[in-house]
Amino acid sequence: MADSSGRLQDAENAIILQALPGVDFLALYPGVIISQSGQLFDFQPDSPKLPGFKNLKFYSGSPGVKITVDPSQSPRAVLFFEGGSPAGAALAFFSFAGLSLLQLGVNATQGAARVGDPVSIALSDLTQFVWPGGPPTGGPVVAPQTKISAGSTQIQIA
Amino acid sequence: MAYLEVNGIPCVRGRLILPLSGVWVADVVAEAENDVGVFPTPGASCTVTFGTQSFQGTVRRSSNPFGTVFARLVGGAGGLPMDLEAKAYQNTTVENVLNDLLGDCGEVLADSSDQSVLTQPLASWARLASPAWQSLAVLMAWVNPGGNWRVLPNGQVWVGNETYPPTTMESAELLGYFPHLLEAEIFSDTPSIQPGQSYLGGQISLVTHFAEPGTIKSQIQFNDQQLSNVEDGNG
Repeated sequence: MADSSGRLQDAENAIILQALPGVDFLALYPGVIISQSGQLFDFQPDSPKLPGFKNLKFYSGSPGVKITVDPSQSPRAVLFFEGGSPAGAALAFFSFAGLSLLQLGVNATQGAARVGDPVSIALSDLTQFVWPGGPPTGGPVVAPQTKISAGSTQIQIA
Repeated sequence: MAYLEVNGIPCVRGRLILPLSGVWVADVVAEAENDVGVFPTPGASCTVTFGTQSFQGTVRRSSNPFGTVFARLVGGAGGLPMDLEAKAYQNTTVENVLNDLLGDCGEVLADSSDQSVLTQPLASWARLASPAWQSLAVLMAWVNPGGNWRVLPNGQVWVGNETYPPTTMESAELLGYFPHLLEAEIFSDTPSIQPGQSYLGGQISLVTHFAEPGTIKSQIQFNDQQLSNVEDGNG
């Protein structure tokens, strides 16, 4: 009986595969980034059902994002097929492990600073400065150096 | 000479199924051996003759109870059920991917295949680990939707688009026409009719030849359209 039910299942699977020959291309396949050239990535899926890929595009879900990974840390990503087409292999969803640089807003016009970044203030930028107890006398005039000590975890850079 | 033979060995009965898209299949019953020779074993190539027609195929499987062979034969080298390994391509053509796929399973691309399909460029392509026929079906579904692929009588794999030329079958007697089934039955001594041809004004999607002791017939399935010649009484 087990044999006949197995044959029946094989037949059913074959019918399903014939009816939906492209269904495998609608799945997401996790794997490892092997190497990087510019914003193109060589990728090895975990599944032996898929080949290794070269020069895959990365879709970040946001414009103006560039990514740099450290392949020695086996950074992980997910492979998908754009439009469900075997000709549309691409990557998305990087994990943070092995992600060495994430650049946001590559074409944006306003920069952003982070907590701990140094700040240099040019005296010419100062429009009003009040010296408590009057200005000091003697010695060279130096621009004040400081750093950002607090900030928002959300930035708008466009 | 029997009407249906395998490598010259006469068959007691059998049927030969020729689909518009896919692999032709022959199911036969024959003596295990006679003075012509021994029936070929699974995996062996063979020549099936049905009337004046000849088909190059391979024995897919067989059983041999009581000195009688029951066998299923398939068109070509029998490699399309073979599991192929995954492979990725870049900057290539459909012809290269197709030749690679067929070569990996021992099949051969037909020279008569549609060049407009073969020369299509492919910036990238992914072949998953799967049976060869499935990879072939996926490739054709994407690069030539609406087209077909099939194993020809000469055993080669054809890909392309149908033109439905009139059949070159010399003579045939119409045994019956079943409009609700879009099906006709004919008798012909020279049944060269093929899927992808037209007959009685209809486009043929499937041909099944039957050989029984003392009789033969061919069943023809048409695409979903009116058969003008039959329904006008000119069949």
